Amino acid sequence: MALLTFRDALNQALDEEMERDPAIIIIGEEVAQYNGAYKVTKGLLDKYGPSRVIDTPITEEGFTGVGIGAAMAGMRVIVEWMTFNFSIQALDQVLNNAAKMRYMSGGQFTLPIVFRGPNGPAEYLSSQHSQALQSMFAHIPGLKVVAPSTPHDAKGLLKSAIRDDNPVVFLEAELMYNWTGEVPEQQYVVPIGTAAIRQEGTDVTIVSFSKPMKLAMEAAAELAKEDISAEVIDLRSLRPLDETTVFESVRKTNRCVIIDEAWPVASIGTHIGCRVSQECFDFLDAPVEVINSQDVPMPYNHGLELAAQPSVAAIIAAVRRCSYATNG
Amino acid sequence: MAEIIRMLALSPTMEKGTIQKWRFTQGDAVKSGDILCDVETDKTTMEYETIASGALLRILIQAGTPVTVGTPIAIVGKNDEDITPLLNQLHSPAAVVEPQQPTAAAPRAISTPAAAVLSPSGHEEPAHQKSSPLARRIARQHHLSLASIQGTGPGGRIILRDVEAAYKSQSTRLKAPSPALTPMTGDTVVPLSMMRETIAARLTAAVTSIPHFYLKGTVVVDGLIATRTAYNNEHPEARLSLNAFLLKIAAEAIKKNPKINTSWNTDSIIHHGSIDIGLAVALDDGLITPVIRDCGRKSISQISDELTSLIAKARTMELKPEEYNGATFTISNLGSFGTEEFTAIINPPASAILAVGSVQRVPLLDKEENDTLTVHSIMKLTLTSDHRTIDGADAARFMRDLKRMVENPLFILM
Repeated sequence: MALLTFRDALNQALDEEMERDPAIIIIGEEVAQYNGAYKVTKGLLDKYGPSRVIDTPITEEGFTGVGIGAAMAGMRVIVEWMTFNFSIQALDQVLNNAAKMRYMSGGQFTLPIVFRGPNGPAEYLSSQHSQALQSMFAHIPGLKVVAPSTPHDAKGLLKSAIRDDNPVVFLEAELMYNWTGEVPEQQYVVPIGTAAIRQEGTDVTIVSFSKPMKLAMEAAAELAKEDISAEVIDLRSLRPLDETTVFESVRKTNRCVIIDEAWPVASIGTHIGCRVSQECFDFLDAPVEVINSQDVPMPYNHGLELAAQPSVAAIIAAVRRCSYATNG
Repeated sequence: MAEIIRMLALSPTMEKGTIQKWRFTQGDAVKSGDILCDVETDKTTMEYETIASGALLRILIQAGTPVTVGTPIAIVGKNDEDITPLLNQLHSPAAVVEPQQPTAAAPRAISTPAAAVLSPSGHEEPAHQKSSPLARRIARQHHLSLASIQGTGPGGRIILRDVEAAYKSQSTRLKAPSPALTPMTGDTVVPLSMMRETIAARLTAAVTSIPHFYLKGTVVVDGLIATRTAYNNEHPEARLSLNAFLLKIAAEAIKKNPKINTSWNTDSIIHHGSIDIGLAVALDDGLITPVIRDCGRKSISQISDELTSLIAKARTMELKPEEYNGATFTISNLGSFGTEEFTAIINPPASAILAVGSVQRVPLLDKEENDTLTVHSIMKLTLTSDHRTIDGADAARFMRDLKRMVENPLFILM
């Protein structure tokens, strides 16, 4: 298997799918001549030409709407948002048109469109450019939302998202683009709606997705030194959510710690916490722990910026609390 | 925030304790680890160590008063903190007795003024004891009383490891295999099923904690058999079982002797408003007692119909907890196996169980016919009673009334 970066895995997925299906187009700011703000679309303009890889002005609402219209008219569309912080400009298009059109047309239109780009905080970007907006999109019926954490899943899920006839919001992260991981040589897809158990364990279930998965795995390695065996679940899809995998694990370990770098109010993390409390009530030996970012706009000061986000230390402390471990 | 300090189970079997001496007076500062008071338990005098820190704002139970485990005994908090809401909460009835909701586990509405309520397994559950849902479920499965478990989680919360420790210490007592029981070649070791474990735990508890006594009697069942045969010949599609008759007659005899229909509740005796009779049903590995509710108000054919459906569900293990929990009286009938007579173990929370032997044809001296010998059908009945709730004469009166009605079924109407 080849070792690929997250960025190249995404690029491979786009390339393979565009080669497979001439109805696929990519539209967004700097996606063509500049090869993408984060180089995810590198080489695609040269290979597929300007009618399929389309640069746009800085007009999120406009080009997102163009993409939705093209998808309704029979194209298969990938909209790249330079970051999810800019997607807010296009929110009306996504919520009112993409998410509703198939439903309101009685199924006359399908919406094969992917909205993708980096989401969540990176570094030194302050409040307006450090937002993790997954909760907003996962809130909306009519959308699918996926958030891979490995190059393997990034490629497999992006291919599934492109082939899906419904709008899929595809969450990447700036700091993840250089992460490397093994990606099979042969073609494959990862189905939307299935979680992955990254590490099997018996004492506590740690649930996360996207970038904080790295923290979850580091915390699990630290906890193993204390003889706490953590089962780590990567959700991969946020909507639909693979609750079964989470419930089965919690019923086995009797404890649950969830990490979500979005704000705490009405987040994926708190939602899963509620669902686990409902469905695994008689199996819980401790209250469910949820680790979100602090409920504040992101500070610019780097020390505060890091302190506002989930950390390995916070995960370990939460696991100790719900395991009633002495040093918790 | 002020915290209520409750009486804890300071020994594994302690259900009640008496504070002998408070080591602090109201207003003193206490810290976690201090000995708050000395408590006389069922075994000895123990030191009560507090895990709360702050000012001893109020002593709720003075020295010398016995209280059940879980009863609030003091309030600890910050100096000059307003504890009125806490006191009001304690004075509301809900603070003393856990709100009793009609759950599957507790189908009977038992009203009791005591801090402890009787669970279907006959154990006491203390009011407001923190415990994790998992700990509660596992304790229930193993018929462990939370009152006898010391919580080691935050705020004294009982968590899984506490229940496991309690279960382990109990099962070492119950299950320590004796050297004589080392399996030999040819032996098979069969792990316990959940049902076998429950039977072992419940019956061991019943036999070791209940003072049993036994009364035997012989009843002539010619009349009963004739009545049943006549009815069944007329209703071949809805034949009545002998057990249905026995349940009904037992219920009528209980009406005349209500002490039979009671439950021991440590500091009180519960007189049940409804006569709920369980019938022991043998299964492949074990037994279960489906319960016919309110037999006193049901006809024999109603009881027979319900028995038929419950026994069918029992055999396929489909009974719901509310269909087998909380019998106030039990009947066990081994007559169909040919057993002539036997004694049975009480099935708590009931206070008595009737063991029914087989119908036998025997010659009897007939006084009205000048002491001639005539052949009759008889059955031997053995009543096991809990002497804490039922005295010998009570049991004897019940057996007398039962015999009259079995021998003259029309007496049911009188």
